[in-house]
Amino acid sequence: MAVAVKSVETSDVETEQLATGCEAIAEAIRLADVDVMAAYPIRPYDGVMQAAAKLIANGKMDVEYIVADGEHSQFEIVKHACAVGSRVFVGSSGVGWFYAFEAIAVTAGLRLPVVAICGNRALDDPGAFGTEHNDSLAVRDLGWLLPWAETAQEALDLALMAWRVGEDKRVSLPVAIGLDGAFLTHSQQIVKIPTQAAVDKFLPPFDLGDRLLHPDNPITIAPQVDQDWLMEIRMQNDQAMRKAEGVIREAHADFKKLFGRGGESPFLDEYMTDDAEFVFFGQGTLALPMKVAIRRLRKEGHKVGLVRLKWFRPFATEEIVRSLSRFKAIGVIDRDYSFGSPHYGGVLYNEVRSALYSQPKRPVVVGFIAGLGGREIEQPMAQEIFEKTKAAASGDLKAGDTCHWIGVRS
Amino acid sequence: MRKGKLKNEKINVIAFCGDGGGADMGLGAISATLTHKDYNCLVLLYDNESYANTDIQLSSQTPYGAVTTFSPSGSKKRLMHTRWKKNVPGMLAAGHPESRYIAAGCAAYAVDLMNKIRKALELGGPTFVHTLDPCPKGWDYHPQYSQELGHLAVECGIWPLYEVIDGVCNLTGPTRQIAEGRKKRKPVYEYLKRQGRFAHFIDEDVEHFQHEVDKMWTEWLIPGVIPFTISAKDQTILKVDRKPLHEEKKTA
Repeated sequence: MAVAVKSVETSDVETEQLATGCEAIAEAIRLADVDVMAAYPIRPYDGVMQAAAKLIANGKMDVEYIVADGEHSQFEIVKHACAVGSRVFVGSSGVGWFYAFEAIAVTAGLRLPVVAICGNRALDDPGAFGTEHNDSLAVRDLGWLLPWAETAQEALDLALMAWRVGEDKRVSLPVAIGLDGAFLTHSQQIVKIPTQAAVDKFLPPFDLGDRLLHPDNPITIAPQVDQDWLMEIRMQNDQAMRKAEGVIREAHADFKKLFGRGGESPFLDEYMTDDAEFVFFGQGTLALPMKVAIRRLRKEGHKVGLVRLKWFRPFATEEIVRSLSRFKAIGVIDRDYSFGSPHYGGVLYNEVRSALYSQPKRPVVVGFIAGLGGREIEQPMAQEIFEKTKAAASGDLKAGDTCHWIGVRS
Repeated sequence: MRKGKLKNEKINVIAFCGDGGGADMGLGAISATLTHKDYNCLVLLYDNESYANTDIQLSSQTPYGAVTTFSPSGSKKRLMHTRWKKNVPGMLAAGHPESRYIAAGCAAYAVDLMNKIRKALELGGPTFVHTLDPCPKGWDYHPQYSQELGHLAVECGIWPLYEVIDGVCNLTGPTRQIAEGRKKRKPVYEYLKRQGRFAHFIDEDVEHFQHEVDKMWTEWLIPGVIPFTISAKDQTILKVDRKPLHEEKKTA
């Protein structure tokens, strides 16, 4: 059974340090006392593996650090390590994430709480290092929990939440934290590093219970079940995902109590929405330029705000619908694409529209595709997003003309 | 071409890969290629001993103990990387009898390398050449020493030059001279001390490195190529003399 063995010295006061999103995650790995991690190079996620390697070399943490021969092996290594009771960490980006896809899919199917980061990166070809959410979003239907961080602090906090929620026996699902490439993985911010004692209170040791694969507990993992049992197993996954929402709320409440951070809701971060008529809706670091735009637009007298989604899976439908129904119009900003989807919109856009469908009072939803390949969302683009959202609310936009590509050169 | 839609002629296909793409994640694909004897395809593995494009990370071709961004030397762990370099051309030669040409080269010996590429293309079918390519950034030395480091890798016996033509192994260049006893193998320290990636080595690490390289020369069936020997009782049956060439010369 899992036994926590601390072999490194730890700080007993909360400290602040300048850290990139990747370095903040490396600190979370140290604090969570991870047992096994597997690395393989690809930008931009692998900053976390470089930061972790330094912590290990300098004796700051004790982790079995395995450099794999490819992403598929990398994700298989942690999957198996997790099955024998290790707390694990892994990650990738863009096409590397796709190279691991078979392993990623079975990890969710096996209900093994692997914690990963996906340093969001455009999918080659053509080559691009910048952020785009299609890598993470590719696993949205498979049973991975998908939170997205806005800041390095949130990256660290979400990582601690990820082990707590994923390893909870009611959930037992893998978690992939979305970190926008470059904007978050590689920009430095002040990060509060919690104490080991506080983290230990928040995060119990990993215990797989009777699912632990060990010679003393001879069980079979991943047997052939065919049509006899597969539906029942899929439904168990579904139920675990349903339970995850409540477990996240519990963990979030505990987190707030212990660390005093995390905002009101674990799922939504609302900015200047109290009196807002229009809101922008999106996830990740695009919140920053949109907040700047909101402050500017408010000076001009426009009642605008931002609702940032923190967990894409599970999609907290009820809460999201309750929040968004208050507004006249919503501009959903997708840093992703879904070619050929309804209204040729982004993934988030169609999720939001679907969630709002059964509401008696439905706000106007306008879709925007912006910032692909790591393109900056600049203020004129934010202005355009606002104007189109406003125009849609007053019925000025043609029906069907609901999704717009922003900042595209002609 | 086979169906007559294109003119029937021999086209040389050369596939380039690095040590990450070739010796790590793409090894299975190279192995498969070397069994397709109907296709002309030379696979050229350009080995600079790290994932240099993505920031100098550890690969299976990174030498023992070297510093990379995945294997920094720290105050508690001097060596993060303690795996010995995978013997790629040797394993491919041993496992793919239908490949007519498999070689290990180094551009520091340009003529030797040119000949190897020519032979590979001339013999045709699936072939493989693995080159060691010094990397100023990854190995941490001034670019003007690239050729010198290539020479040292071979002269210290770390990177043996050889070719396997239709299943017959020839040692080439200085590797042959060392094996024949005409040239003395230099101590690995000469090679290690020139590179920042080994700057953290202490005597013990250098000794281990030397010991492992010595084993390649004194215990391997073919120095630097086939990493095993034949047990004494079977040497007569298999007609193998386990004594390495250069050791024999010395005693003669």
